[in-house]
Amino acid sequence: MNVVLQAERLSKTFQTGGEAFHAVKGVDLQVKLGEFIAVMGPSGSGKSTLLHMLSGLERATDGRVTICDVDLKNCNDEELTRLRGKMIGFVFQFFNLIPVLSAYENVSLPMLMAGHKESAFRERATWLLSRMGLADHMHKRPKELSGGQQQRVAIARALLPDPPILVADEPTGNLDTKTAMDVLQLLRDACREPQPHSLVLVTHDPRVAAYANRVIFLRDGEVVGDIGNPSSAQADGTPFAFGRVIQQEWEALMA
Amino acid sequence: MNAFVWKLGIRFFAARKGRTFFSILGISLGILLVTAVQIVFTSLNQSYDAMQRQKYGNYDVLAYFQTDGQGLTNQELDQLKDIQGVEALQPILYPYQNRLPRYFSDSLYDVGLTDSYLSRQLKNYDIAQGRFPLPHEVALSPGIMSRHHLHIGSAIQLSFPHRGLVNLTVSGELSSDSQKNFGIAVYDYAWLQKITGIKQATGIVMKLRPNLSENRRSLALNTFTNTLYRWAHRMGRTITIYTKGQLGALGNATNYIAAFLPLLKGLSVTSIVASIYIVISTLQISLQERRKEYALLRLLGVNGRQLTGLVLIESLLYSVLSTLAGLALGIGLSLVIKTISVQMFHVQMIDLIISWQPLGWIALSGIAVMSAAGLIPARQVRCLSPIEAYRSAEPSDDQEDDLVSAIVAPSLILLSLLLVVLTHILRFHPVLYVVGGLGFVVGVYVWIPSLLQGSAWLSSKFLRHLFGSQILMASRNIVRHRSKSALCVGALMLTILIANAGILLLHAAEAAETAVVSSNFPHDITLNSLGGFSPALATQVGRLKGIDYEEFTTGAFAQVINAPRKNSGINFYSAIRSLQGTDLQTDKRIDHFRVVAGNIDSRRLAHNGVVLTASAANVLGFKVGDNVSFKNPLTGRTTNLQVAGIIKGTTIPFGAPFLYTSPAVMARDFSVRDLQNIQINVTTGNTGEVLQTLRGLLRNPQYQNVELINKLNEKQKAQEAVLLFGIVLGITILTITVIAAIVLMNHTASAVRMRFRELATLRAIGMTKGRLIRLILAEGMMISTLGGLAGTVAGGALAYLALMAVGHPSGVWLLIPTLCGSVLLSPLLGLLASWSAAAWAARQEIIGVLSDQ
Repeated sequence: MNVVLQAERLSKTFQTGGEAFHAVKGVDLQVKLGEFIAVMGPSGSGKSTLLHMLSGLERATDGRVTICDVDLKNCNDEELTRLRGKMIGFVFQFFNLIPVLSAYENVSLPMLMAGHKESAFRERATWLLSRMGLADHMHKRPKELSGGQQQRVAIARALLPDPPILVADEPTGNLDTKTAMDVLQLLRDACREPQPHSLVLVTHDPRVAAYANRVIFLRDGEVVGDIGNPSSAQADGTPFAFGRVIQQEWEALMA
Repeated sequence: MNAFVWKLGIRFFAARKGRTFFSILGISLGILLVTAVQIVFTSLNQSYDAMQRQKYGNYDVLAYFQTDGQGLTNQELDQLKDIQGVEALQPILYPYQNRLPRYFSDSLYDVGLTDSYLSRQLKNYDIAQGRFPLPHEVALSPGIMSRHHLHIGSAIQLSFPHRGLVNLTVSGELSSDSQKNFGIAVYDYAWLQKITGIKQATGIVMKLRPNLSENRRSLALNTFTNTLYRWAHRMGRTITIYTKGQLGALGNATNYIAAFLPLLKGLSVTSIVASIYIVISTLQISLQERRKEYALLRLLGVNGRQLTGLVLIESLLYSVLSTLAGLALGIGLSLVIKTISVQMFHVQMIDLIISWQPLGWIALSGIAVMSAAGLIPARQVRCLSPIEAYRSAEPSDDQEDDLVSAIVAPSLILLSLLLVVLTHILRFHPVLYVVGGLGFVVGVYVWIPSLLQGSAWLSSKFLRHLFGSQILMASRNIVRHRSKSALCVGALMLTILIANAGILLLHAAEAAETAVVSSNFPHDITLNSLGGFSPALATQVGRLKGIDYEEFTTGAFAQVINAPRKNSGINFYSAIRSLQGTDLQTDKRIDHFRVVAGNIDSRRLAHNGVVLTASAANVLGFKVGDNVSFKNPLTGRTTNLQVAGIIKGTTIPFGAPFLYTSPAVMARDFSVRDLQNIQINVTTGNTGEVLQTLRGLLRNPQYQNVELINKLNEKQKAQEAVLLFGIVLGITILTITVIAAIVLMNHTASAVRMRFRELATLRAIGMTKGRLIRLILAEGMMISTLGGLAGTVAGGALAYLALMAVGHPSGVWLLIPTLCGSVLLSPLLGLLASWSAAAWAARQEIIGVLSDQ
């Protein structure tokens, strides 16, 4: 599989009150096309900072990030903006839909802003929304949708430009268990053929991480664990076995 | 910019309907005011113009040679027509100027005119009945027609030099209102040229293009009149030029409104500034609320240009809708002002004149400027980091660097005060007072964030003990959102500043108008005619009981030729009419001038004596005992008079007469017997009765060119102008107060929305609804009180310094009630503006807010 996202000796240091705080320390990571990676860690472990650097939202203090062979260090702000629009789909904990737009318009937003004609993506947008189970809710505004439905709109929005990478920051953090499982299933499906996407997901919930192919554990900005899911390639249901492994690793980490 | 950016911009704009409505209303108030001022004052000016046109005709310049000789060739007429701004020009032929040809027993004043719109504007030659004369036809004044039993179609014979008797048909009768129409004969211009053999024009009437700006109009008039003076000087001829303004002054239709126009323009600009302010504040509040959405757009790949476009679209929508609303409301308001002015205060206004061109410019410039105001928030959006999209918490508190406010502002205030003190002590140019005042205002404005900090400190130390803990929380909240709080304080400061400065300036303008009336019309009644009238009128005036009066002859047709100061800067026209005859000893009864050198003895003046005003003595360079030589440029005759005295402080108005001799000398040496004006003071008599008698006297056709000017009428006109300005000022203050209240309403609503969770938490931990309402009201009141105080100090200072600059630092006592009013009313304004937000916050369900992200 092709490497779509690569981080080498990635570090981030913040200056707070005259003191240096090392949020991320020398992280190396490779994400292949179609791979689903979960990043776990306790609060303040640097997982969100890592995600921000991987998606070009924050610049690294040291090390480098390459997205589809483009070194982010060489990009200015406008180039980064274009790169994000083309290469990365975002899914947030709080959905972040534009309240004045309908579900369909929210999904279309990145393509329209990039100057594409609606006719070029209308079919795909409709198909994505139908796939998310929102065929009957396309013209509703976010406030008329439930939390799970809003998150599915956000996933469809992330998928519409067909980016090679999806990043998701606690995408189920604001959903009930049943809805969360549905959303995770959709995200996992998105990584598979016919259009494979890589997914980097940040969570502190082992049950969520259990859907991933690979789980990376962070503590104090350093990678302290990296385990693979041997059954994920075949599994369609809730991966309980891998969940128990992650739970044990997590408890060890928190101890 | 793609269509979706437009769509999104429109959706953002329409998202908060209540606030959008109030913002549009607020912004439109600025345009409303400019529109109303434009319509009302254009209407008023045009009403004056229409009255003037009705009286004198619709032309800008009337000029004619007073002496015989060469006239204007066709080539010269073409050159005059080519002067930029000239719309039309028609030649006039006065063939026998100064020759007084006689036909039967009457003297006829022959005039040749072209049959044109412009020629028909000459009211002296207005044909009331019949038609404009063709070749071999004549139009006569009614006096001649009636005395000789002539009617339209009558055949008469008139004698022309070198031609003898010529047969003519009477084609028309001139208007009975025409001045001196008892001896006028109007002919076709070309025919009269042919019959008299005079091929050149001896007079012209000219009209400028109607849509010229004031500057271009003034430039065109100057170029035109200067060209004529230059040519007349070259030809050695005397030319009389009447411009529209001079005609207006003749008819005492003084346009007092014009004096207020700079102030009104200032007010209009201020209201537009207030509108721009509201656009920026509304967009900033909108930006604050949509911070996360904008950041999300950045994150999803929307570039900075598109984001700027998004904010500018919103700004454009606000501007366009506000401008349209402002124009419509402005037209409505001008109707209201007109109705109030005409019905309640009897201001003379014929009709409302809505000129779409200036309104179009107002609309376009309003839209352009207010849309451009969106660039400030657009820049802030552009700088927004996409990472903001990840933040679930409310935006962080304002982290502005207060160094500018804490250090630069006091320095600016101190420097401004220093400049004022130095200007006062070292007598620098007075405009520096205004510069100092503006510096002070800017300093106070920049200081606002520090003042907010200061209020928080004051609350923590003292006010909390008086008003409870809410005041402390309120002050800290204000400091938290100090950039937006400063915007509100600034808006209120602007309101109070305009109120204070406006009231002082109104007082000053009223004083100035009164001074203009007193200076132009020093006496109760003036009888005036540039052409002159018989001294018999003075004899009849002298018989009236209970009055004092002074009389002046027309100016001598003579020029001072031996002034020691050759380059005196006096123009030819003024200098040639500078000597008048009067009895200064009699005049002293009502004109309290001082004799600063020599004497004004009547017998001395009757023996070739002349008295100069101090300014004339200074300009010409004469002193007591010097000989002044006057030369008649027509006859070449020279008359010498000796300076008997110099006077100062005379109140004699009209023109520039600054040399006086006795009426006897005027008659003997200059053949001047006619009077130009009589000044009357009513002492023990009844003014109404005196006026009635004078009007009766002036019904005599002999005096129909005499104007009667009643000082009381002039005062009333000046007061009308002051009143109108007062109405507009009042509306401006009200308008800007509403704008400030809307800014504060927007701010409070936005601050409450941003702190929903925080306020719900306060409710959850035990804060009652009442205390919550009081907390929000306290925030609004603190902001408005600070704005009121800052505005009072800054407005008072600016107005006082502006008055210092023009030399009238009076009426400062007027600041005391406005100061007290501002301080008392500003917290009330804050209370009213924040009430709806406070009630809204109290109505929210605690659980709903806490569970809703």
